[in-house]
Amino acid sequence: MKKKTSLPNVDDLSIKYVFDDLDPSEIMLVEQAMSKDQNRLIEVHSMKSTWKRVQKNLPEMHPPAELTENILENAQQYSSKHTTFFTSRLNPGLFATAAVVIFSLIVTFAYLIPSNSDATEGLATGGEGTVALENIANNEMQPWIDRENMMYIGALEIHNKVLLPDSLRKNAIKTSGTATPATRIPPMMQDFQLTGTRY
Amino acid sequence: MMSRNPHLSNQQPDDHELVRRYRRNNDQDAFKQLLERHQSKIYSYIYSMVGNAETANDIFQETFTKVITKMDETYNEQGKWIAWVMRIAHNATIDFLRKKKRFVDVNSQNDPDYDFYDRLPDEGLEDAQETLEKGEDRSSLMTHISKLPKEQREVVMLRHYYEMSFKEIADLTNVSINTALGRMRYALINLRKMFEKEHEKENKFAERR
Repeated sequence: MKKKTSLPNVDDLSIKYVFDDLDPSEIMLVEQAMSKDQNRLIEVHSMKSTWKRVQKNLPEMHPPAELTENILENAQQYSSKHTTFFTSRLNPGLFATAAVVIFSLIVTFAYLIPSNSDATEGLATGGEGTVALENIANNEMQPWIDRENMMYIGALEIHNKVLLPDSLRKNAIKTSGTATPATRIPPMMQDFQLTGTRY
Repeated sequence: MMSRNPHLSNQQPDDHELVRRYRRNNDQDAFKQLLERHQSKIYSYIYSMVGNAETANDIFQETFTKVITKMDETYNEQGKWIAWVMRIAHNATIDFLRKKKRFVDVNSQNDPDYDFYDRLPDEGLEDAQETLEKGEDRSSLMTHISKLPKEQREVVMLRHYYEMSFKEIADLTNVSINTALGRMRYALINLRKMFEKEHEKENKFAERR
């Protein structure tokens, strides 16, 4: 029993050959078929020349100018009708509204978020340690150190008590606590941290 | 087959860019460039299929009305814009021909509005005789093509004006690629026969003189 082999349709390949739509193996197949069949050779070459004549003589035609203008006007009108406030990027009102909203948000956040950059302001609103330091700046209380080298400011025990080295301890005892403006930090307080606030 | 795109240079934006500008920025100049770039091919196809200027104008107008109103809904920027427009033009043309249910004969004697030379571009040829002969060749070719069955005419026009592959032609016309190839083959065979017949007539006419 003969096996059925699927051979490419040579007629289809011949047309593709006319239009240069073949890969090299298919070109070889068609050229072999043409070399064996004179009629196929004549047909393929006549189709090629007919197509060349068609390509050469089929004109490129132009629509009337008024028709083109009409279409462009329709495009303009359709776009105008279907452009909304939010789809128009060039709408000045949109920009103005956006600017106002953004500015308002910036101002609002500026008031709500507390500033940590100014140490005294932050300290003034902080806990006991910050109150103590403010009092020092205002010369209301004098720091003092007990026998265990624990520092106190007035009656308040400082949070996160820190043992002072001897040199600083001596200075603390000797310090008379001159009046300092609220914004100035006593030198003895500048090198250690209270309540997690860094000067 | 060499792709012909004389309108596109290195500096001009491609179709995708123009479509994007038109859709997103409402750039009317972009739409105008698209129209000017492709209108001749689309119009030529429609005119060649229907053979009548007034009808071709109507179908052309209808095509671009749909392009303008349906672009946001049905055009996918992944595909070629011109292929999408061609499909609209093709469908509009086929709808018209179905309504007519006959072949359109492009013949100046039957159609008083038909003047083939009115639509030819001005090529500035110095030799009037050459112009005349070329015009006659075109006229006879259009006449022959008009006599082809609609399916064969369709394949010839789509291949020539739109430079479609046979696969694309098959997809557009809802047939297999083998059928599309067969239609082209018979179209070329029929055209060759018509040219030979015309040539015989010319020879006989020349002999009588």
